[in-house]
Amino acid sequence: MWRRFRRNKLAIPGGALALMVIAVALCAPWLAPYDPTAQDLTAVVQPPSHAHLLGTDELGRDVLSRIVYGARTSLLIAVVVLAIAFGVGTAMGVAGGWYGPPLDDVLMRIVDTLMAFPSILLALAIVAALGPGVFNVMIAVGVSAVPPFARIARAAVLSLRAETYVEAAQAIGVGDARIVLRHLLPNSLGVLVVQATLLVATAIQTAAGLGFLGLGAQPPVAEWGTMLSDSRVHMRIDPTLVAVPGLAILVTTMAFNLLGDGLRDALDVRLRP
Amino acid sequence: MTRFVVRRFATLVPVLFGVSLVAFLLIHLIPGDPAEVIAGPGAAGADIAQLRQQLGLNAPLPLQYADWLARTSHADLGRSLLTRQAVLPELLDRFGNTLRLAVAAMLVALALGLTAGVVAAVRRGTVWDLALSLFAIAGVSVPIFWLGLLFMLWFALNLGWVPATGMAGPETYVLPALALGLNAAALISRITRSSVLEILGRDYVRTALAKGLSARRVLWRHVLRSSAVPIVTVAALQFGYLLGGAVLTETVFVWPGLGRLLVEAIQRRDFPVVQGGILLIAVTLILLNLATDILYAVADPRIRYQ
Repeated sequence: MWRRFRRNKLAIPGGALALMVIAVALCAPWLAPYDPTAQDLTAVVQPPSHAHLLGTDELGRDVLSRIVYGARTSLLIAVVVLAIAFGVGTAMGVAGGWYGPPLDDVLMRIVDTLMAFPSILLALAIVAALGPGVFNVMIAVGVSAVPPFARIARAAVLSLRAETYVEAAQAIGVGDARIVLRHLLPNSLGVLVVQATLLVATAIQTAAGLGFLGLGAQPPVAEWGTMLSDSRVHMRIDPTLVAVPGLAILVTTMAFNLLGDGLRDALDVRLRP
Repeated sequence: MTRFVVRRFATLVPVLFGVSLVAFLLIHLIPGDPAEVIAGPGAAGADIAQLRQQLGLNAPLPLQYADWLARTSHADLGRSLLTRQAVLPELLDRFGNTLRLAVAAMLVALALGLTAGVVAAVRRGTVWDLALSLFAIAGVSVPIFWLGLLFMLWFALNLGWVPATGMAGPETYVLPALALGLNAAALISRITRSSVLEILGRDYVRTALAKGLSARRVLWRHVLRSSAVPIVTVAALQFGYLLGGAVLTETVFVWPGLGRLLVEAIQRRDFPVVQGGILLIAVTLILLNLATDILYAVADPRIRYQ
């Protein structure tokens, strides 16, 4: 598997970058030179200098510190989104695939309904109702990411339920829950892990998009999309203010996409929800 | 064929029902009393009661839904809470602008994506292939609103080649269409590369080359034509996502489309507009998918029997 992973030339750099972003998020309090919310109104929109390596924003806050803490916000959102999408989506897919109609029909129509909306629009609609904020963004993006997991888990269960070892387990009287937890889930894990890695990238981008629209993280939380939105009025004076948060989103999303592609090749799975 | 179309229409019914339920329930997802939240802090009790009446929130939930569905099926999406104007004409007007932008973005996506995909496949394993693969992965990963801002900064504000915002003439389409279309271009280039590579390995391609046809002719006549189905599938799917992505692009470029209207309506808590806009986009996507499926069935009879 490792050999197949390595064969994808971009997978290793992608994985390394993803690990680096995770490390930055975990070590934010030690890496950030300043408090990301501390304002200095005597030094607003400053260009990069020794004191502030990436300059300061419109409220005199250190941009580097906000980028570092922004990694923490983005990854936290991605982790919770993943938990919601993986938990709910996989449960729906496994239940539908294992028990078949009529439960399968009902669950898959729910999935079809959610898939009728572009994910950013569904997330936007949910945030519209729940109100802006990091917690609500997690729920909104999480719900919008449920359908692919449900489809993939269902497809995996449908292909596995005909396997001899599953039939054998049923024949000796093993319960449904045990078959699902001990046999079906572990054997579907590869394809779900690949989808999860790719979802981290999508979740970070969607959450940043909501932040950019003013519906995501609210001030003074450091979040990349919100940083972009706040700084765009000053972009002619100091383009770094716009360049840096966008680069952070690009690099992080790209890292997880490359890692996901590498894992897909390594685990030899096809993502056809 | 008629049976296929009827069957495909029948599968739409539960999805349309689900979509209408999502749009309807949106207002009931608001934590607390929706009328109180929409009216805003400090609103008088009488105003809240009037708003509750206007939104029909006094009736039991199933009755509210039945009433809303009956009105919606007669193309009555209610009135904006702010402008007091009927919602549907405004939505349709704005949707036209969004569709124009999405079509322009799709043209950009097809031109860039097909070229990049074919070049990467034909030059497999070379620096070109690696560079175009990187372009594809970067294109998928780049946030479109950031790309929009960068384009605006360079090409509009610094170089002055095109206007920065608005929808006035053909030149105003350039930047938003590029920003919106690049993401789809990246996906189209990935699928083009893989399907062209698959076809290039087929026996009939080798035969065509062996009997002396030029590589260019083989590529156009045999390879591209055979690779078209997966490419068209991805392009059709991407068109739907372009309508979603327009929310961000339209905000950046102050484009008077449905996406921007939706964002403004959300910020002002104008729920009839939000519900109508979401419903309009979802129904458009569902019909788009239906049209794509029917076209496939026309092109490939095997699909009808699956």
